[in-house]
Parts: sequence; C-alpha cells; structure tokens
Amino acid sequence: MTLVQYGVLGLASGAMYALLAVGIVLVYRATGVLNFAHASMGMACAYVNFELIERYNLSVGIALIMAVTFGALLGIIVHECVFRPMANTPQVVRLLASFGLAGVIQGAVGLLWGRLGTPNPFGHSLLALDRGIDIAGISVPWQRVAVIVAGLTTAITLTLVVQRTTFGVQIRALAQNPLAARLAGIDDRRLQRRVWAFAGATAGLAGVLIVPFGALNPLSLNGFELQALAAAVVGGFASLPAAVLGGLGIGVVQELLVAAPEPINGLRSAIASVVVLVLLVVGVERFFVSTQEAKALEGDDRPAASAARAVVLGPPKAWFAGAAVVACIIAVLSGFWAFVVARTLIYALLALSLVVLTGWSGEVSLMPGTFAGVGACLAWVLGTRYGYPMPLVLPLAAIATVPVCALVGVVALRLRPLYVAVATISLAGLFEQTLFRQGWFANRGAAMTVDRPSLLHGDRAFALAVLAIAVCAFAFVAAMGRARTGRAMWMVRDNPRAAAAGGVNPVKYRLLSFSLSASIAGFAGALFAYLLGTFNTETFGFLVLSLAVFGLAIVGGIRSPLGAAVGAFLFVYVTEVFRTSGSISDWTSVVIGVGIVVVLARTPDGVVGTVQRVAHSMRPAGAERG
Amino acid sequence: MRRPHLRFAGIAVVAALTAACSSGVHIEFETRARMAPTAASSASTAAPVTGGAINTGTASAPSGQSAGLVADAAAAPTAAPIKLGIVLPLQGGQRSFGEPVLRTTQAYIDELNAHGGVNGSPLELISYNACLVCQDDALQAVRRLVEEDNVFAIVNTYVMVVAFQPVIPYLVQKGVPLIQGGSEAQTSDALSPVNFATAPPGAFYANFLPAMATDYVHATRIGITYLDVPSEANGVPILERQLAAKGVEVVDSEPIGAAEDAVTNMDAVVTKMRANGAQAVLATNPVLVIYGRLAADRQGWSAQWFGPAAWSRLVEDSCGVTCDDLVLTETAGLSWVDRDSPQMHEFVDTLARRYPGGELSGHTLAAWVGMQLTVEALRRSGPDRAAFIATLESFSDLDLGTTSPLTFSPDRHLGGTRSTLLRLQGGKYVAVSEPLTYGEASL
Repeated sequence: MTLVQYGVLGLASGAMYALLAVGIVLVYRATGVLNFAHASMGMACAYVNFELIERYNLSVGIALIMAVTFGALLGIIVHECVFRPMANTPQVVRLLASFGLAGVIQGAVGLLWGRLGTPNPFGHSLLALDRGIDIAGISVPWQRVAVIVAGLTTAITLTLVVQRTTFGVQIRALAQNPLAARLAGIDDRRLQRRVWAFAGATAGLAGVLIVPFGALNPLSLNGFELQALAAAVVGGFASLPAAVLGGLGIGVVQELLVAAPEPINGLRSAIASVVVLVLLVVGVERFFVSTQEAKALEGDDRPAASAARAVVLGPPKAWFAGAAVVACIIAVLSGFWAFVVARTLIYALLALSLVVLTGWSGEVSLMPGTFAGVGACLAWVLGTRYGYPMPLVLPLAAIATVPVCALVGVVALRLRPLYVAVATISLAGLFEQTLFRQGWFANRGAAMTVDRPSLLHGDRAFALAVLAIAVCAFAFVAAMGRARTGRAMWMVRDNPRAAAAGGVNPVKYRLLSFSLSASIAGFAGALFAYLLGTFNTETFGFLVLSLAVFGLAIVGGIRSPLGAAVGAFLFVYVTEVFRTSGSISDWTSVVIGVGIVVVLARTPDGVVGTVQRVAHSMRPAGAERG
Repeated sequence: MRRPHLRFAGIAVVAALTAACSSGVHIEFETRARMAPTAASSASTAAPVTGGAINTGTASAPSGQSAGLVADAAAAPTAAPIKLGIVLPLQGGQRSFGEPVLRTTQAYIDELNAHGGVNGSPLELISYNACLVCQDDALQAVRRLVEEDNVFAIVNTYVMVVAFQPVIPYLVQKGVPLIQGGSEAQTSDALSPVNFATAPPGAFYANFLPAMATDYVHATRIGITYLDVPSEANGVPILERQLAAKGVEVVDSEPIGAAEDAVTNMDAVVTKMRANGAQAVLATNPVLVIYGRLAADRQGWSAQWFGPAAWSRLVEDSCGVTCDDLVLTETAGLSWVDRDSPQMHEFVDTLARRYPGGELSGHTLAAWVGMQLTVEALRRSGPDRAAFIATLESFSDLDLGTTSPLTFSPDRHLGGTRSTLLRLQGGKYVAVSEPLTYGEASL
C-alpha cells in the first residue's frame, strides 16, 4: 500500500470532519458561539431523515432536502431560545451551554425515537456504500465521494457568500465591530438568525451523509465533534477553506498513522487533541482574524468577571456551625443516605476547586474530573500498592496532583479563557488515552480497589470523616478569600494590568490558583476512590465527571464556596429524586439540560448569587451599606 | 480525546459478548452427540431440566423434573409481591441502551403476573436510572434499591458492566443476588458469590477465539482488530499469546479508538492487513466486523472474518449479503430466536403484545433469559436469598428453550454450556456447527 493510497483514504475520512467544521466556523465567526452541539443537531436531522424514509416512504433525495430544512429550522430555534438570550454572557459560559444543549437534543431524540430500538441507517444512504470510484487502487464509496463534494462545495459556497455578498459583508462587519454594524443599520438579530439557519442546514447535510457510515443512535456523531473542532481550529475558527483543509489534513494524518507500526498506530485517536493543543498554543487565529475582530469575538471572556457583587464567603464560624448541624443529621441517617451525603460532599469539594480557579482567578479548566482521576489513581498506587494509610494517602494525592496541573497552567497562561477551555478538553482526552491507561498508575484501565481504614468502614463514620475534611477545606478557602491571597486573585481576574501595577504578580497568582485547584480536586478524587472502594478511570472521564462538576458549580454559583456546596447538593439530590423511570423522569435529563441553559443565560451568578441579589433588593433602604 | 459515549457502545457490545477470561486451558469443540454428562451435572440431576416458561401454573416444579408448559392456570397473585431491582441508562442519549432491556424485563413480569405470578406472589420491578460508566451513580442507585426499597435481587444490568465494578463487592457484602441474561465482561467479577449470568464460561480470548482460528477457520496468519477499551484491549495480549501457542502468527493488531474510527479508518486497516498477508481477520466486536467486512468487500479482499458478533441482528441488517461467509459465534443466544420451542414463542409473542416496536435483539433476548432464570429459581426456592442462590447453583443442564442449556455450581456462576458457530448466508445466520462445548476453564 502506497502513501498515495493512504492519502486517498484520508481525504475521504477528513471530508466528514470538514463538513461538520464548516458549520462550527460559520457560527463562531458570526456570533462568537463555539457550538459543541453542532454534531448533535446533525444527528437529530439524521433521525428526521430516517423517519421520513421509514415511515413516510419518501425517496432518499426528498428526505435529504427535508432533513436539511429541518436542520435550518433547528438552527434558528437554537439561536432564538438558547444563544440569543445569552448574547451578553462570556464565551466560555456559552460553550458550556452548548454542552447542555447537546444533552437536551440527545435526550429528546432518545425519548422520541429510542423506543424503536437500534434502527439500521445503512439503507438510508443517498449513494452506494459498498461500491465506489477507484482512485489509486483504492475503492472510495460513492457516499463518501458525496461527503467530499458536499464539504468542498459547502465551504466554497459559504466562503463566496461571506466574501462577495452583502450578507457576507454584514457578517464580517458584525464580527469585527458589532456596535458600528448596528449603527450602520444592520439588523444583527436577523443576520444571526440566518447564520444559524445556514449552520443548521450544514449540520443536517453532514448528519444525513455521515450517519449511514455508522450506527444511528443519539450519540452517533458525538465522536466527530472533536475532530471537527480540530479542523475548525486549523482555520482559526474563522477561515472556512482552512477549516476544510484542516479536516482533510487530519483525516490524511490519521490514515498515515494506520500504516505506522505498533504502538504508534494506536495514537491516531489522539491526533485531533494534539492538533488543537499545538495550534491554540502557537496562536493560529492570528493568521486568519484581524486583531480587531479577535477582540470583538473575545469580548469580556472571563466567566466570573462580570459580577460586581461581593462574593459570599461566610465566616469560618458559620462553616463550622453548618457542619455541626450536618454531622447531627448524618448521625441519624440510614447507611444509604449517609453515603449520599458523603458523595455530595465530595462533589462539593470538586466544585470548590473550580471556585478558586474560575470564580476567583478567572481561569478556566474543564478537567476537574481528570485531576480527580489522578487523585483516585494515586490513592490506589499509594494506598493499595504501597500500603500507605488513608491519612497519609489523601494529602500525598493532593500534593502529587500539583505537578500534573502545572502542564495545564503553562498552557493556560498563553491563551484566552475560551481557548483554555478548548485546550483543557483536549488535554483531558490525552490524559485519558495515556496516563489513565498505564498499568503502574491506573491498572491499565481495569478495576482498582482501595480499602478504607476499619474505623471508617461504616457509612456514617465515613460521611462524618468526609464532612470534617470538607468543612476544613471550605473554611480554608473562605479564609483565603478574606486574606491577601484571595484579594490578589480577584484583582488578577478583574484587571491583570492594574494588579501588576499594584505589585501583584499575575503569573504567580494564576499558577497558584491552578495548583490549589488541582490539589483540591486531587484530594477529592482520592476520597472518591475510598467512597467507591472499587473503581476505574472511566468514571473520571471528561464527559462523565468534569462537565457535571463544571455545570453544578455554575448553577450553584461559581464565585462562592457556598455556591459549590449548593450546586453539589442540587446535582446529587435532583438526580436522586428523579432517578426512577417513568413518564416524568424520562424527561429529567432534558429538563436538567434546559435548566442549566436557563441558569447560564439568566443568572450567571447561579443560585447563590440570585438569592443574594433578591435578599439585597428586599433590604430596607436604610439598611444599605456604603 | 477519548469518546466515552462511543466507549459506551463498545462496552455494551462487549458486555453482551464476552465470557470471563482465564488462562490457557485447552478447548474442545465437541458436538452434542459426543457430549457426555459432566461430573457436576451427573451429581446434581440425572436428566436435563426444562423450564423458563411463564405459563406454568403456580405450583413449583420439583428440581430435576420437567417444568414445561402446562395448561393455563392464570390466577390473580395473592401473596406479597417480590421486589426486583434494575439499574440501567434510562435518560438522555444513553436511553437506547437501557430501554429495550427494561421494557422486555417489564413485559416478562407483566405477563407473569397476569398468569398468577411466582407461587402466588406477583413480581414488582423497581427501575432506576444511572449512566453507563458512572460508578458512583450506579452504586448509589443499587444501594437505594437494596437498602431503601428492600428488593430481593437485582436483575438484567449487564450493559452496566463498568458502572457495576464497585457494585459487585457491595452486593456480595449484602448477599443480594444479581442475575443476568447474557454475559459479564471478561474483566469483571463473574465468579462473585452472588453474581449469575447465562453466558458460557471458558474465556473467549483465551480459549474459544484461538480455537476458532485454528480448528475452524484454519488460518495460520491473522490480523486482529479490537475496540481500544480496557475490556477488549486487555484481552488482546492473552489472545496473541494463545494464538502463538497454537502456531498462528498475528500479522497485525489494530486498535480502533471508537466506533467513528471504525467508520473512518477501517479501509486503511483492511488494506494494511491485506498487505501484511493476513489470511483471516479476528474482530472482537460486531461493529468492527461490520465496518471491516464492508471495507474488505470494497477493497476486493475475500479474507475470512470471524469473532463474537452474533449478539445482534445488526450484522444481518447492516451488512446483509456483503457479510456472507462470516464466521460468527452464538453468544447471547440470539441464534435461538428461530428455535421452535414454546418458550421462544412465548418470548416473541409477549414482546409483540407488551412491547410494541421492541426488536428481537441480543439485548431483549438476554433480558428475557435473565428473567426466565430468575423466576425458575424463585419458583423452586421461594423468596429466600440463600435458598435462591443454592437453587441457582443446583441447576444442571437447565433448558430454558431460549438459550443453550445452563449449568451452575458453587464454583461456576456463568451457566452457558455450549455455543453454535454461525455463518451468514444470504444475509441471514445459518448454524454451521452442532452446539460446541467450551473448555472447562477455571475463571
């Protein structure tokens, strides 16, 4: 097999990424939304296509047109209902909302079509899958040729539209200077609606064309999302032709890696993550986007910078008093509910790690679950393999996590928050593919067992121990918030230059926040391991844990330790209440997804901030301070 | 990054496919005609036992005697309900993995209760949601079932094999039985004192697949492709070692990161294996069989593909005649769908009535088999956990009519005894061997 043949196969694979990347770039450029739900929108369109062919016996061509139209409508709905209300929120918050949106779409599709079992998409391909055109001795299926043609045609068409039409000029004007564009009479709402319609249509086209190559289920296209994102990064999230070339290039590199010997051939899944990391760090955006446009897109990108009210810290006495109450409750709980309390407290600790990092320092890391996984693996290594006692394992796990996070900190210092978020998603993937597969560290991904000390075998005893640890951590963080360190972090978050002028070293405090955050997460991860007893690294995956922790921290209120506790409580108890199956509970994931989006859109300070605001507004005027 | 959602698919597939792993014990392909009763079976019961039908009346069949169909003895259950618990992904995008299992289990119970329940006691199913790999979530759900709802046993959670890693030790501690149709993944604790499954023992990786390569496919140079998840990847070194011991050269071993990699990369994988001189390809996952065979067909390569892929009709539906001449193994009993047994008719008819739209798949049949086994044991033991477990361990050559005869013992909680090799012909599975016994490998 020649390299040319691998190249041909790579182009065929890369075309799939390119087709999805086009829609991502278009939306980002026009609206500043990095939409991780793009592939899920395509998946929904594939289901519509399936339904039209199966139930209404439409031809595949007619069904394709209608599915693409549905994609356009879905794009408009997504814009109007989700992202337009969030127009003034930081980009990272909108990125998180797009994850919530993906969950909503997948949940809704699962409910609407899940009862059908596993439909066979192979019969719904537009063109033949098992026959194709012979290129350099390789048979490329006609359907894949269609994907290549669709990707290139869509990119070229949209590029021409952006470059040559009034519509395109308006998009560029809006991207470079939204205020000036509005003053010039551009109807930004209408324009963005059209952009979302275009993007939704491209998602629909991609879904209908790509899904027949694989299985049709609500998660069908999720795996393509990161590859498409990497392709979009190649174009700096701005250039449609570069994104298409990026997609094709990633496809070619992946196929060439197949030709490599073991174990290098197993690294092709990591290519997208590496591409994203490298290109973000070298600042590929600057080749495609003017400084002015980059600033306009960036806006106020720090997730916690917009809130002006004071952070709710709570005096240490209050934390200890609250802990005493919770301890009394634990003492009378059943074993099951004591377990639930312990789990809640561990989630609260994980969320606390984000309060320090994101809420106070303005940095973004979407890998708290990864750090927790590192802590859990260290608990196995130190506690089980080397026999260290739990009181020694926990602090060692916290300390040993710090060097791991240094890598993230170094990358993060070079990037703006949205790109840090994207980079940490990629880094989380790399950790999962490398460190979490090592035999010495993670038992090659198989089950690991850690034993609690005999004193803590009981659920109530363990919950009380976790409570004691958690309240110390919360009180420490709250006290730090009152001290110079906390104030310095806030200064760096709100205005790094002013902070530097005031003698505060931004780099030092950013790295400190990363280290402290990772330590808390690593500590919580080790506790997590002792809670479970037997575990593996799958449970610390990005989509499994990190996203949940970030979401609950945002919902509770990411600037406040109290918000972390409230978010964890809501997360664990709401899912517990609606754990049963039935007509109402079936919609739980959809409702939670919608709820997260609404909270993100309407109350960026989360539940705690909202309560604080309401309480503040109800105070008598005379009670106002300052 | 890794794609956990696609790992879910792999995990679910693997969970439905693989038997527990063991070290290299010789496997015998032994036809039914040549089979002799094992020591365990001859010690416990002299004759095969049939059972598993819902409509058996309310009297429990004595051990060792036929419990086949009897005249309709429908009566309203009178005794207190026996609670069973089930934990599955029932919300969000993973719902499609859990819903067929839940609805089939519920269909069985509804039908059973309509016929008088078990010894006059209706069954009550309490179902909770947990995601496929969320171990803390699954443990919390199971603890609620056991401690708050006081269920008698947990059933049919085999798609949750990763999430259940911390659950199994908990169930052992509490003495709560876990009964599943289908199989455990090779890396899980299938031999825990409370955990019963209906897949055959004998380790696909260590015994059955290498034997297929030499004794049935007759290949001396093969390529291996597998999903790069721990449950499959950790078995590959065992597989390679056993193949080498049999004189089979592995010319290429290709990890596939996730299902979309199979979609995008399989053409290159196939072409590389072909260039390396593979005579056959062993794919450890049905998804890889489908995409690999399709790619091979496109590239005009007629190598034999084989692997444990018969759990689902997906291969038939998706690959059709293109996959003709594949060698597959029967694992979750799906090849028995066409079996003309009363129990299989009961399964098909009940599913049609109580689960409209439910497909006859490995998932639904495995769920049905799990309930057959649970109820068969309950009929004999009553709702006493120790007696229930002892009853399960006493089954020998139990013929449920929907899967291979089951034999359990205190040392053996994977009950399957035989497997049939299947080949796709004209787009449909056709049995190409007598039921073959697995080696009696210690797990």
